[in-house]
Amino acid sequence: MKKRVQKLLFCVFLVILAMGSLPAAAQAVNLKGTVVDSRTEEPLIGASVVVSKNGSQATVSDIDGNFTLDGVAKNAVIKVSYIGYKSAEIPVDGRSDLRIALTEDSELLGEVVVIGYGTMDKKELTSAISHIGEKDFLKVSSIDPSMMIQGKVPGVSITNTGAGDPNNQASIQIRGVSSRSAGLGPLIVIDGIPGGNLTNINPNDIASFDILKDGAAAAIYGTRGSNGVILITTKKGQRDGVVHVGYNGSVSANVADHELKMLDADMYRALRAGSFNGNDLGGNDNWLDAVTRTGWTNQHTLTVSGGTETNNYRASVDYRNADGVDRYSNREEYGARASIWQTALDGLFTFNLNIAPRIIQRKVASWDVFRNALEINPTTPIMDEDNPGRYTAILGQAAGYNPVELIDLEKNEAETKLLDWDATARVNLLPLLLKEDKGKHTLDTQITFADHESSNNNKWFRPSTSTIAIANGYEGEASRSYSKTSQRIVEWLANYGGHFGGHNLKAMLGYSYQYTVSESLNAENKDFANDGLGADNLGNGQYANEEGHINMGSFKEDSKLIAFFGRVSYDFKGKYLLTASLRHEGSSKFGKKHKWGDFPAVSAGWRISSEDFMKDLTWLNDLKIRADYGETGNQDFANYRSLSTMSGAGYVYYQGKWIQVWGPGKNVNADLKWEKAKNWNVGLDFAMFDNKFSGSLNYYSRRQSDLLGDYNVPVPPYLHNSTFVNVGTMRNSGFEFDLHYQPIATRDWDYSIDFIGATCSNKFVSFSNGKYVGQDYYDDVWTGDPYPMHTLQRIQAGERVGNFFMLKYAGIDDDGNFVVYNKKGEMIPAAEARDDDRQIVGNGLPKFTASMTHNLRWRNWDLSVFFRGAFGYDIFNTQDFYYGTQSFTGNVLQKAYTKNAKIKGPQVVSDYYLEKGDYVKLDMVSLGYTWNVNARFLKKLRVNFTAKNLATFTRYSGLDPASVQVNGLNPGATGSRTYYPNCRQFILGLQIDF
Amino acid sequence: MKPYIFIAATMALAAASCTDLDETVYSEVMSDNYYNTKMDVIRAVNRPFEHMYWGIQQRMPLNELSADQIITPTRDSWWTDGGKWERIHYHNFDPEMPYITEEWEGDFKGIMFCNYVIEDLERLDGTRFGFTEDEFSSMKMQCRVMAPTAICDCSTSSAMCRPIRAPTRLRPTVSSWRPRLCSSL
Repeated sequence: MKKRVQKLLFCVFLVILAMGSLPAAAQAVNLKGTVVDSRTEEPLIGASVVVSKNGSQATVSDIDGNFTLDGVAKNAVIKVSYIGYKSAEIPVDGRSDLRIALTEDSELLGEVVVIGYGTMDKKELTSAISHIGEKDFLKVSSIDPSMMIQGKVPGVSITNTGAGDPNNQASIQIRGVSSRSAGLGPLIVIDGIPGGNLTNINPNDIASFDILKDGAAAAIYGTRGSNGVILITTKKGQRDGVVHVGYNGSVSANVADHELKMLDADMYRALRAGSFNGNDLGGNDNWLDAVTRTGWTNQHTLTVSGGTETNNYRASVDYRNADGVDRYSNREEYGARASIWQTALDGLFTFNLNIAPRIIQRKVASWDVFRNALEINPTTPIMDEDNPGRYTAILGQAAGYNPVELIDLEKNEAETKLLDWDATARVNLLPLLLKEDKGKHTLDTQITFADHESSNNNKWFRPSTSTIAIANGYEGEASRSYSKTSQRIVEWLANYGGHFGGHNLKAMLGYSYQYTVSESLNAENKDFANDGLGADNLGNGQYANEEGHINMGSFKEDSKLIAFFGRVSYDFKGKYLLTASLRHEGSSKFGKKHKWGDFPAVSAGWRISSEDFMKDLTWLNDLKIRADYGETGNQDFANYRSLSTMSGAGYVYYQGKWIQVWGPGKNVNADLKWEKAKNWNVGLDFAMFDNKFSGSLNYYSRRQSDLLGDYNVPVPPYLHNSTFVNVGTMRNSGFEFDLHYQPIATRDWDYSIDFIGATCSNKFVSFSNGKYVGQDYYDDVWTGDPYPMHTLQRIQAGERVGNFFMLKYAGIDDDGNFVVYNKKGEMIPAAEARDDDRQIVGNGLPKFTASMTHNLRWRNWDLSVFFRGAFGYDIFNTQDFYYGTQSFTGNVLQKAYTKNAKIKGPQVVSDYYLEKGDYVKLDMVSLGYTWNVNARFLKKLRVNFTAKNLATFTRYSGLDPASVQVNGLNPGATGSRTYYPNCRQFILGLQIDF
Repeated sequence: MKPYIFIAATMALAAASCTDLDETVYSEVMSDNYYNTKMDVIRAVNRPFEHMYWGIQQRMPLNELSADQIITPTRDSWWTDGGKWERIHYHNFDPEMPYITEEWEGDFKGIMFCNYVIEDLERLDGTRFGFTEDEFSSMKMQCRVMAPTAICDCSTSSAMCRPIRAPTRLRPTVSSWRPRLCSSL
């Protein structure tokens, strides 16, 4: 009896146990599934699968597109996403096996464009902003991010006159030269913080560039917006709950291309030795080879990033070592960049911190070594045969010094330390003000503090054994200098967004305060007791002991920039768009009466393709026209120019000793104010044939007035003969186009073409205004010894910048002298020509610039080919002018005895040396292979080989035409012979995603 | 009431510094803050004297190269210098004639430096710096005498000191300008 009760109780217990476990099993499932592409049915590898509202339950699909997620609630919703595809939210609904097909997001990637103080959908843009995403970047191994987009943006001209020098930066000019004396470079904004330093960003950390080209977009930056604004967005952590580790490294070689054919030692002996130009010094060394080498660079970056919906982070560390093509220069740097983004208090509070330190050791190149190697008598031996161990002293030659000695014996080093950091705290005000959030409004405010610190520590040393020091009469020379700059910014912004039926409104209000301070200290000395001290014991030198030698200096200055600004954007159903902004800004640099200025802007757009009457045109995906107007300013010039100051002048002997006299240092101008630019732009954005063909067209016109510059004034009534004033007007206009065509996009093949171009029309309208009436022109670009005192260009009111104003060549007479045209058109010997026989013979500003990119992909292979060119301009062949005829006192080009053999007389500045600069350059060919390994610890491997600057097709017979400066006030011309050789570059890159 | 006053006060304070664009000068000295010590006055007074010593360099080429005693010829391809030495020697007096602008400007700068000093000294009290009445007025007098010497000295030495191109379409802004020009000009 007892046994039967026990058995029954045990059975009941088992039943209860079994029943108890049933509900638990009924609540959660072990989910598995496959993610595929809806069109090709191919599995999507690495797609992110996250349980909504529970960020910790997340996984990634494997090589077959399969994933598993255990313990998922039956009523949960999972979110599946993959780059380039529309995300999908799928309710689990008790299923345990899912097949998820994602459709490609056929709209162009990078849809969100960064504008000043915010972001905007590309569809809503009403101004001319160019967006370049990562896939369009050019491969670079240099420090300069601007080289990643060289030639990629219409209207943005980037010239690097010495790409093989690892410490050289390119110059950037947007939509034409806009000023005489104020800075010509655009404002750099990194992650929303203005005033960024381009040399402190690792190109691997950049996600995209947004370039604000027109006045309306740049007006929000007021007095810094005149030259355009480049907004750089760095990469941020992902939100898929997975930690990503990546390595990116490359090795590259820069090979110099010596384009100039000078006489070698034997030719020189045969043709020139024994004349007044030089003697046979018995050597056979190749000087140019002796100062050149292949510049090897290697660079490594390690990145760790990750995050969820509520926080993400990204940290990268990099090291780089680059040798220049000259045998001395080098750049070794290491840096890091970390960004943290954290949301707290249920989305009420957001904190963001970015920090980027970098330390750079530089060996600074002396570009003149190439010029000296060209000009030196080629029979000069490098080492002095009479004094073993000593270099040949160069005396009485056109070359100023022994360039090999300079490279071997002198030290010119610098250490730069950079630290950029910023912190932002944002508060979402809606939960504080509203009880219930219907999702129709957003309101938040944020405060940002940013700091840019940079310091430079330079040293230079020349030992006593250097023939240059001996020629100067010193036993060793050395100098040190130290400078540092700090820029601190505080910004406060408030943002509002609201949706009312079909009406959308966004408003922004802000305040900005920026303070910049720089100081420097320098000292030098000569005649050291021992060369071993180098530049590290300046006190030891005897030179400073002598009377009259000061040998040191220091300097300090600061400035402030304060602004109040606001912007309102309105659109109706994405069809009718309107934006207006205003910035009220003041700069400490301006005169007392004009410290503040207003910079308004307004822009409007109409998305024609959204209209009902356009719905039937299925081949047209997007069509928008837009127009805008904006006013910007420029305050990028030296401090304190409007103030009345006393400064030191010479010395007088007063009561037994020399004292320095002081007097009024400059003419005072209390009216100094910002340059004002009025810019307007009309544009058209379109996309058709299922987004296969898309592009933008823009026409712009900008007029800069009140140009800052040193203006010649009469003495009397002014004390000094030039004053820094606002006078002059410049006008730039042009047409830009940006076209993209992707005919093939299948599983195995992709092919697309990008074609961009811009025209440039420029006019220096006037040199005068109501107050200062001056001459209509001034001559510029001076030649140097041994043909000094000539100018190549004339900047004239009513004319395009870059006009060459010289004598017009007519021929060579029987005696070998130049014959030119006088102003009446008659031929006269050049010796009889006067200054007013000169005329406009050409122009150095390209009329049209263009570039073309071909992108081809076959399975895992990809190929990119990039061409760029400039057309419709002339370049003055400076090297031909100095080295091309027999009258030069140094070594000459072989041309002097072939093409120019009949020229025997004195040199004449004429358009004989002016050549067409038009060129097309095959600038990059890049071949890569991507390997989707998808092993446990290795996801993706990519190897890439790039060749840059491969070939240039041009009629120009001098140096590489693309290295001739076309930005600034003297495009196409330089009177200086200093140059850095053109280089071909070969880069081998490796990218690993772990 | 109290919190509102506090907020208003902080905002006023903030507003003042939020919009303050005054400049601070470090490696230069503002004119209105220059005169502080005795040596500052002495340096300023000596400025016109220093100018007189250096501001007459161009008189040598103008006087001597235009005469027959010395010339600066071209040697090989050097010393052509745009033909400037030729102009003086061959008496090709045209708008490109060198040194005329320097002579004109040098003269008038001399006058203006003197006038600046006279103006400054007239609004300062000499005893503040430790000068006696006599010393202070002596400095002013010397400047008064030197001003016209800037031009007169030139005209007595050579007829070349004749400006070829008269500039200026603007009226002078220096208020107390009292040059005493010699009659030969």
